[in-house]
Amino acid sequence: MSAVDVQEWQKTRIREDQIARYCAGDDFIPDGEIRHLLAGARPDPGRVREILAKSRAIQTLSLEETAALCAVRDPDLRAEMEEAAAQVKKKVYDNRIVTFAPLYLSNLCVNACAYCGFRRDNPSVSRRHLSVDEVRRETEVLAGTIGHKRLIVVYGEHPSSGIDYMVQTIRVIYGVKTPTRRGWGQIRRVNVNAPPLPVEELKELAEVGVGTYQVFQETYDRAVYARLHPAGTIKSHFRWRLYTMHRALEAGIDDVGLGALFGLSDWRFEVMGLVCHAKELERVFGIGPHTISFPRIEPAVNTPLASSPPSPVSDDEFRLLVTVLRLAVPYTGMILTARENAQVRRAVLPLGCTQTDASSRIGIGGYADAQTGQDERQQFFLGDTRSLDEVVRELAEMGYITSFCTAGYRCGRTGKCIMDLLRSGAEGRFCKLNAVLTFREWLDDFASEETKKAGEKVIQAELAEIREKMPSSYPKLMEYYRRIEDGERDLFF
Amino acid sequence: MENGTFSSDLLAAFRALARQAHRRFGVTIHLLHIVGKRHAYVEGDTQGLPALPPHILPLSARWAVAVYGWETLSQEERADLARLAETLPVERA
Repeated sequence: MSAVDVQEWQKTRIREDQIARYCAGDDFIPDGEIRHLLAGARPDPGRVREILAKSRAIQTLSLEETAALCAVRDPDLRAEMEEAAAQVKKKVYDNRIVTFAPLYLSNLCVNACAYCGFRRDNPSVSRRHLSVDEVRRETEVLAGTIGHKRLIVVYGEHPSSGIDYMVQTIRVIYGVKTPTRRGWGQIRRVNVNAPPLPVEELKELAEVGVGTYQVFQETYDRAVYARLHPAGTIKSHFRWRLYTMHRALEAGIDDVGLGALFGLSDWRFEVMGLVCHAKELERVFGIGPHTISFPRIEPAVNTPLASSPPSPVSDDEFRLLVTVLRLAVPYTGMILTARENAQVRRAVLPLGCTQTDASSRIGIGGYADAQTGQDERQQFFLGDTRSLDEVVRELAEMGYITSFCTAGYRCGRTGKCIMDLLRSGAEGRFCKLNAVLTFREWLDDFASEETKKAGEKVIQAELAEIREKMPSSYPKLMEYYRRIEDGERDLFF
Repeated sequence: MENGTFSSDLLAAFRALARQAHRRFGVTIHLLHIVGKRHAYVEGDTQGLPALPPHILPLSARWAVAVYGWETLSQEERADLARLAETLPVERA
């Protein structure tokens, strides 16, 4: 494709009519109000405890309440907040941590984001997108060797990785089925991290059966946004990106994922922006975000801003922002990634996170081709490169069961239904049951002997708890459990 | 779910069926719109669902009904419920 074709393609991407449908005047990020609330927040313990009670009741917090929590500095109150965050997570999602892997399919991009290793003018990155055969090979490793069931596939914004490529590659991923030790491996849920798309293309994405559609706003601070995304690029259009999830929900994708890249602006502003975004989706559609992600900027090849971010977030601030997000949007999934090193992940996971990745390789073609020299193929540098087997073992030693569940969107627990179930605590029962079944599969098909030993203890503890607290589910669970032990796969509640 | 694209006739018929299913069989049903692999929730009571796998009754390539409590039904009741679900005015193509 010629440079002229790429330029022409860019001109067609933004649909002002599809923004105007949801935004007649001001958008839903009230900058002034956010700054005013953050500046004036002086939370006393009594007020904080009232707010925590609201979170425990699985109610979305107001902006004023969120700002109050962001301002807490007293260590004892912070400890109460962290305890409440853990309680909220347990109530909504029970004891499980879902795992997934990222799969980067293309690093060609028309944008020039100052913080990104994939920006178009970075000559240090070797550019490509995977062929169909390469996608198949990557998936065979992920599903057949490592044992993942869920992927987040990542595309750059470029005509060579437009909607046709996305649909084609997602179909290929879903089509891979590969034998394992005792059963077979397959990717059962493909989540997508992609550029903002118009409604017509989102309908095509819905048709191919995506799980969650993620688009991160990067920063909700529109002045910073304008500085970091050069004028004239598609990504410079703040509202085209901001209203992506409105379009996704309109198109029939009712599991959407929000996120901000922490380090670009004041972390408190981003937290408030995320809460505004969640509340806006609740207001318009009755459906909040399925997940919220909170990556911190990591260094990237030849990307000075990534090594010296404008508003770096310390580890302590990171703990606080994760805690606040958990409390502010109590029903949402919270994704902690391998950007963070093992020590940080160990400390932050118990603060209410529900998903994490492992065995991650973020270079294009990085799973099938494990050569050194991935630097020039990846968007940033990972903090935690441990294998899934190691992470599962550690999670088991921490008392968590690793889940590979993909049940919800295959049996109608989506959109308003799952929102209701999450808020009432009812979904946690399905989470618990499906964690046991999918963990059994993984232990039998992929686990090392050492990890299997640790995993068996967790599974037995979960089974005992289910027998005691969910007696009406236990017989069906054990029927499915035995069938999985016999080699059957993909049984779910 | 697509805003405003489900016919009011279908939703009204489904709500009536859901009331009947609950009254007559003691089960909760959900209307699902099928898009690719995704079975998206459209309508149905979300309170008090048993923690058991829902039974999916396919109506067409695009529509299905999820039944929570299917295992409590007799063979005859299952057949009756399936026949009633078949009367929903969904596109059969």
